[in-house]
Amino acid sequence: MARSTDYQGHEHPTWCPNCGDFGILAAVKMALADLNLPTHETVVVSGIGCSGKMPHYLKTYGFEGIHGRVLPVATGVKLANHKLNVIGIGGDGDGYGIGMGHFIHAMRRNLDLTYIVHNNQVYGLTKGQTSPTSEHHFTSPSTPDGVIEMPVNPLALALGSDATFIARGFSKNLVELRDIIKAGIQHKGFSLIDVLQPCVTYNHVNTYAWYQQRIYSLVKEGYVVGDKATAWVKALEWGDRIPLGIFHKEDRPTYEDEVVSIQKEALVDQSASANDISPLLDKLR
Amino acid sequence: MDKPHNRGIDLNWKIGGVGGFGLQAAGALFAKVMRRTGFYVFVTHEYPNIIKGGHAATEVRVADTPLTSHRDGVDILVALDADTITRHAGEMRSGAVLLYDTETVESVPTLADSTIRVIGIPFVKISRETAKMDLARNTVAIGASLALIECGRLDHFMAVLGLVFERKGSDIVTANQRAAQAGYDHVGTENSHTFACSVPSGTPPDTILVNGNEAMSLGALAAGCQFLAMYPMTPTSSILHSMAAWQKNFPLVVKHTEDEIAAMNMIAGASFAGVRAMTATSGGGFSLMTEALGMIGMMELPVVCIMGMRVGPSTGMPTWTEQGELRFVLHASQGEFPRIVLAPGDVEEAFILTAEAFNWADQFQCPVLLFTDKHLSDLSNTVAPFDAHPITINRGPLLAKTNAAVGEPFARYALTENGISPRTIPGQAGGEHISTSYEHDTWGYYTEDGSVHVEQTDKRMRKLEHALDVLPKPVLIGPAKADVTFIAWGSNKGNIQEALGRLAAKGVTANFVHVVVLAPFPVEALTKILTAATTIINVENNATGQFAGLLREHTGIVPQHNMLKYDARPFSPQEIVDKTLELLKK
Repeated sequence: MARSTDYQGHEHPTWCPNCGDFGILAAVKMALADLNLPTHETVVVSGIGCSGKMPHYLKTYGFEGIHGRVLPVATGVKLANHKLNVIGIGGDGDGYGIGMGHFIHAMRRNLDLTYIVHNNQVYGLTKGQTSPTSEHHFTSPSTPDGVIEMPVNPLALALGSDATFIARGFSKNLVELRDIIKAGIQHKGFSLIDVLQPCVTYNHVNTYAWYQQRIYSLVKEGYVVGDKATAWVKALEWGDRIPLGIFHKEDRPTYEDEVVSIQKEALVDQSASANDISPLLDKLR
Repeated sequence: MDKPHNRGIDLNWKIGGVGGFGLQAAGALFAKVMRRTGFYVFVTHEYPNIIKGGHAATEVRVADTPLTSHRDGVDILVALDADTITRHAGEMRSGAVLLYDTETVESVPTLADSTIRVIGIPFVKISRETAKMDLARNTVAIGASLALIECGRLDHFMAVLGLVFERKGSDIVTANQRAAQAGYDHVGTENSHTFACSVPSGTPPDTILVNGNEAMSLGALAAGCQFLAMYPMTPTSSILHSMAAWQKNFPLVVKHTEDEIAAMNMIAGASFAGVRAMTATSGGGFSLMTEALGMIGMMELPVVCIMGMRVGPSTGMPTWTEQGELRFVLHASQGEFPRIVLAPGDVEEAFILTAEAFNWADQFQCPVLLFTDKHLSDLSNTVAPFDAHPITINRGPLLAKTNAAVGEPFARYALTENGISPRTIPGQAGGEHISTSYEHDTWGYYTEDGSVHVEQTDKRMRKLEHALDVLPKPVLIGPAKADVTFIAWGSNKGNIQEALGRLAAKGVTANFVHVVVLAPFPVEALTKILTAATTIINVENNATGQFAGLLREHTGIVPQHNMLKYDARPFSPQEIVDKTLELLKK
């Protein structure tokens, strides 16, 4: 049985002390260990931002790309070798801001990917500007008079985009988050795991205490996954009470299930050296 | 204008009408018939950026010797509407024939050249009578055209119709064959065989009729390309269509992505995971890809990108040709990183260079960019069949799965003598590593250490130091000594090749330096060739002479003349001849 430390990378995190990202990193390592996933068969893809540093702290194959493009890269990895366990790591700026278009398309595509979004409702690495999930009227260096736009609701977007696994965790609730990530990895299809994660440096509104006063577990209140209409009601709940857990899960064939050329073998394992174009040349005669 | 050939062995057939009439398909049919008869053909298309409507035309040049270019002067103009006559009547050479549809063209204007024969045929009416539809008007027109040409073979047309319409059912085949026969018969003895020529004797040459995009797609497939991610954009969209259709028969996955940003990032992911990956686009899409291109350079991933130029800036004139993106592609994305940039000049080079691009990408672990333009992408030419196995696949220093007993952690960016480091792919135990878009150390870990940045920059730049030893050299076409030396890149190759012969006939000896590799720049080879040149003329389809500037930057050589054309059309051989003679007078 693998242990969490087996997934420990060689680099030490450079996140601020008490950053919510530590909890997510710990939960990911615990989930990988519980599922006994080989490090060499796991690829962690990230973008740019505090969240993007995650692959540096894991002993798997890692791809830290450019800002907002986690999902296209993860899609390329998965289509090249769908036997791999592919985890995307995004942030609220990376995934719900600059990378929003890819997010919607990845969900309708339903590749077997796990997408964990570090959602701290603020830009960290660029020093505290407003993010797409910042509260209405949140003040920041880029919005000194408060955000005029309404915040993005990632879970509702996911429901509207036919994502087949939709969940929310809290970085401090380690065991619950570990179990959500495990369920997400085990789910055959696209899994969105939005993780509330306080930014101790730049977000003085949505603090640990702020979340802890509001969060509750869906399961503990008897919520049963399955009915999409109820999932909508829960996805829209935000304010005095914030639900955590798995909101929605459904089985739908994955994208790779329907790609003809990779039914028998992963693309990377198929020898392309034998491509004989003679029949195609004949058609040009 | 060209002088007419009495024997009709170099015949230019043009069909024009409203976009959506199936003119490109008609051109392909006529070209296939002539290819079957043993001739060489060269097909070009012009069309507007409209799905249905606007004016479109297709030109098929037919000759009994191999062709490298289209040419000026039309011998048979098939006008399916009056607009075609207005636009193209002036292109007809003396002795030409205008075939027009008597139902759509109310009156034919008086043509200045009285040697042009005007023949009205009710194409649509015949189409309705014989095939019960309007669409077979093209078939009627081709039938009539074949009757005008002594070596026009109706039997070959019948066979081609059988093959082309096979999947639409035998009813469609016979309907078209009836239409073809009726068009042929309608010409009558008075006009038949207006163009005297004989069918080439002996066994017809074994040729294929292929366009630039098909050639590049086939090259990619032959090289074992396993993954294409792209977003459709003129002029490269048909690469997406061809390769998508091959997925069921080859180990190939084709993804039409949500945008070009996704396309470039997706092939980066696929390449990281170990498959041969490619994208294709045009300037607008490439603009979106540039950030990921730099990431690929930083991560040292092998990818191939086809960049099809059209008329810019911005959306420009999407369905027309230009060479305005040379500098853009050479410098795209922030920072400095090595890239290989290639410019095939014809369909044969498009095929082989695309195939080899995959090897070079793997060997040098860098992006390989291939230029095409609307002209090359769209033109079809008869050439000797491509080699079905043109290259031996070389994946470069890609460690095999069995060879994974490597250190911990794996030094993906190890400082090697030639700058190229062995790489592992996911699935390979012991090969775990991170690739990051940040500057990194030998293990791939993020760094802000200035000396490491210098080491890694030097390592990356070192990779292409000896690349010119394996990349194709500039080619000198024509006599070693000449009055005029043309220099050009990309699709001007064929036009200039033909111009050399035409200039020789005028007593001007000319040769031509065809530059295939634009980065790394072949400084020594070009300097050597050009130092021996008397008068250098740089030929480019752009307004600013981008290549001339590049040549000067790298070699200090300044061409005596720049022959620039940016009216959205390719040079014709005669245009090059006329402009050269003009320049030499100066």
